[in-house]
Amino acid sequence: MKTIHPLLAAALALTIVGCDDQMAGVAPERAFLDGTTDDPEIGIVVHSLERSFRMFQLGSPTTSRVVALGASSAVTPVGLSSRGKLAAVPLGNAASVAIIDVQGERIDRFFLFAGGNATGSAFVDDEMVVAANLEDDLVGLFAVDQASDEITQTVAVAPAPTAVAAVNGTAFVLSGNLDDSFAPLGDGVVTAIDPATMQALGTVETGGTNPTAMAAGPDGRLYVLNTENFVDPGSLAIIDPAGPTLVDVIAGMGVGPGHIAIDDAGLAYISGFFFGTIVWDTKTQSFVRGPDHSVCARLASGECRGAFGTATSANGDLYQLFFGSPSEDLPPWIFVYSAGTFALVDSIATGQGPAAMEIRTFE
Amino acid sequence: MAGAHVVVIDGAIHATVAPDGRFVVRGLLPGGHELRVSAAGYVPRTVAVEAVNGRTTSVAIELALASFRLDDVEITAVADVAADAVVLSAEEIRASGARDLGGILRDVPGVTVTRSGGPGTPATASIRGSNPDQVLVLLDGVSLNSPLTGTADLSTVPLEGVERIVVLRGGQSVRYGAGALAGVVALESRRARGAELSARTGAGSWGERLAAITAGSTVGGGRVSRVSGLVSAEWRATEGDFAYAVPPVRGGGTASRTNADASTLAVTGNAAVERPAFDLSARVEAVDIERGMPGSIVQASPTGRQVQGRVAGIVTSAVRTGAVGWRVALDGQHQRAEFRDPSPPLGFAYDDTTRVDGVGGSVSAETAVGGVQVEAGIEARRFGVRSSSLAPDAPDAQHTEGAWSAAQLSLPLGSAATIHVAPGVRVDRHSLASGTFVSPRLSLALATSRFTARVAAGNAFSPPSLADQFFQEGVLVEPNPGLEPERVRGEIEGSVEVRQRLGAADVDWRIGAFRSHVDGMIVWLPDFRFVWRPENFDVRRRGWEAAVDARLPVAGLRVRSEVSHALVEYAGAALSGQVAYRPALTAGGRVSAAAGPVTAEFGARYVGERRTVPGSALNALEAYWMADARAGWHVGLGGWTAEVFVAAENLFDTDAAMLVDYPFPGRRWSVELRLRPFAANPIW
Repeated sequence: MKTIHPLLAAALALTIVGCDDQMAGVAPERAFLDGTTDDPEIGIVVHSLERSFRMFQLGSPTTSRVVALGASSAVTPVGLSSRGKLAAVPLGNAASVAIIDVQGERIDRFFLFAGGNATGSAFVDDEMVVAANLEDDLVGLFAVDQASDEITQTVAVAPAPTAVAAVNGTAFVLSGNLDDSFAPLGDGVVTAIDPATMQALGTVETGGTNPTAMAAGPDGRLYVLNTENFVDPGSLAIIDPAGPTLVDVIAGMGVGPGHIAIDDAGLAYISGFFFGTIVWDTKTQSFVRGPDHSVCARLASGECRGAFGTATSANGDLYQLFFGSPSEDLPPWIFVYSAGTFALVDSIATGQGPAAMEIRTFE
Repeated sequence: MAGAHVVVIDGAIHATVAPDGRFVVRGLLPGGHELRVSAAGYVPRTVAVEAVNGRTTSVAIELALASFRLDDVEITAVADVAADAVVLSAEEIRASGARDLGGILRDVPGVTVTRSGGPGTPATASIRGSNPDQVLVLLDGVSLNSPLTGTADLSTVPLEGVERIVVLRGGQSVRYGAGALAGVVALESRRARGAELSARTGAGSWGERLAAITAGSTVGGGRVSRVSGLVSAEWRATEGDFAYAVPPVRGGGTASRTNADASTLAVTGNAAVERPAFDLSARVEAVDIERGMPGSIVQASPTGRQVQGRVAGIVTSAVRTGAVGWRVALDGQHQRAEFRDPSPPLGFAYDDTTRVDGVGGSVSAETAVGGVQVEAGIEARRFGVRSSSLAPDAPDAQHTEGAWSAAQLSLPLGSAATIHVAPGVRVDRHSLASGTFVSPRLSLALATSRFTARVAAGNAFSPPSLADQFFQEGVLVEPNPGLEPERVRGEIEGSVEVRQRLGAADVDWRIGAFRSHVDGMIVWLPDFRFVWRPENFDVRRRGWEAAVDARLPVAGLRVRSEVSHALVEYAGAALSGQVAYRPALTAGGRVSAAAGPVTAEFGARYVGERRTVPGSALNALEAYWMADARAGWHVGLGGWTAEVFVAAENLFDTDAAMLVDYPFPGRRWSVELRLRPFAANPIW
């Protein structure tokens, strides 16, 4: 019978002990969604031209994951909403909504309208998503685990719905109220919808034309941007979801404002192609950075790069999307401004046509 | 008499006389038969034989020398030796079985044909990664490119009656002016050579049908005047509906393409009077097309319809006076195109009509001066364009004028080699672009009987089209009146050709490379609103092509293969990488064999990955291989010769598309029958 030589046995024992020591000293590898050790936040960007869903770690912006949304030129995403480990991306002219498993870094399912153009969306709870259909003037409801891929629960709303927000279990749908040539039929309309019954609970006009963006503030109110005609300055409508009722309309929001995001401190970041980002305090109802002093990354000529959207990190830093301009040979960027001072501190390369952004943690 | 052709007329059995003068025909039914024996230069003879069951019948046949006068031998310079041309003969066109010009160009190295679906759907050509409107398609010297879009739709160019196709890769503005930035596809129509009659009919998958007839005659010949006339007519139709894979964004699975039918009717007639030192010819053609425009499979349109009509004519005269040869050509055309879609998938109904009336003319002269062949010419063309799809401020006419001059000098280098030097320059003005465009080019070639090396350098240009500048669709499209013309400055290309005899095989090798950067290439891009708009972009264009053509006449075998690599990359900061829908790598190969009355061919084409997004490699379309096969059988039917072809396209049912959401059909079958009388003297 063969035996192990004592010296060999001792060497093996030392090796095993050494391994144990090493293993005890190694921290488990962090999952991508955990972010970096210094910053657990993840930025999510939807690129409308590249047709992609891109996630990056705020603590290490070059560490990223990308989900391709489809080669079809009908895939024209401009919106994004997320909840838990899922994200909803309406795919525009593809008339469908992609549900993305952010942990699996893949598209989980597609939910289909019969036709039209899928624009905004919002999770009303962990399972239910409300999505707007701009072309067919309706909103649809689906459960992310429903058997059918078809969006069959729908309700008609005012023409050209573009954005959806969920407040306390009620879905609010913003309609531009535009005709087939995208000319205003009248002031914009917000429709409150009970997702449980898919019945309209009420409507309110936005006090301006061609509204394109909406966000819920920490005060529970809805803030709606009336983009107007891209010549005259737009306005900001403040809506009380109860009712709903129009509380106020604030003028002077720059020419052609197209996106609004509101942070936990109540600062509203209003972005537009012609001016960058305006900062307006919902608490004091005053400009922190008005149209004449907007937050923007300037070109060598001194002109502002426009902004397509913003998101804020937990420490208040402002992340701003620059869509890019191939005709001017300007690539797309995510510009980073420090909280409070709005000094430009960083720029992050991103895909073609960044159009929507969120920053959040997945802990 | 080796090579003489023997046909048992009623049994459709063929044989070829062996070098020892013998032939064997087996398997005849007992009874009387007629053998027809023919050979070049001899009077055909028909003899009766009696076949007896189980026995061999011997028959001796003697052919008498034919006393006939040969026609004038016409030698046409397809392209000078310094030009790098691919020439497709009438035989090759016929053997390809191609339905239209796009069907045969797809096998030319460096040419990529983009078709938006099955048979009859629009198709365009790109040379070395160019835009389609940078490729000039000419029929007898007259452009088939649309004055509206600048692009030639290859699906509207039938091949019945085409004698030859010459493909010139690389900038050719030095001779052809505007639009020849990336290359030229020149078609030459066929003239009658004696009495001829042929007919074709066919059918295939998805309701495809074909009927074509060509008839021609020649009077006179030899040293006196010859008058010839030829008429061709071709009709094709297809239902076009086929199953396709639904993309995941619309739920996956399969569905059926609808509103994809197409029908084409083309009639061409030409007449020519040929005398020594004088040639006068006239050609008229009429093409009528009606087809569904089904849109993409994600945004399908069940109601979009297109109707196109083109009537064109050209009169050409060539006269030699002393040492100078003159050529004068006048042409005219009328085009009508209607597109209607009462309920498109997006936006408003379409109801567009475009009418084009064009006239053009050219005068050129050539002579030899001290061993140098010199040519010069002027050319002018004017189009009236009325289109409801153009903005009201669009010009209702466009015109271009050009003057060119070229020379070719051949210098012997020892006893076995010749150096050819071919400088040229052309000056153009075009109403859609400001300024004067000068397009010089210098070609050098070193040629021996087995080897040719070429190098060329030059400039080329292409103006923006009316559609680029003034297209006014209501939905998701915006023109750009501020576009600049596309320019190629300092294009350089070179190639080496080697012709070898390897055993019993003739093998031709060719490898070439090019660098042809384009300043201001016009590319349509979506903006933040998904509105598509053309912009000028500088692109870096370079690549190489290689091809081999091996023929083994003894076995009737031919093997061809080619591979092309074309990088077309954005040069600016905003966008990088390959321009969308330009496959960097394409390749193909064909094997054909002939044994007695049977021919067979197998071919495969590879199209590399294509980007679908400007400046991003995401969402690229996968590379694909697609194969086809074709077999033919040559039989005698009474006094007629018949050829039957059976073809399978997309043999392995590959799921592929050149353009996203415009899938190719799956495997499809077709059968074609060609007939001509024995006595006819056809090109085919």
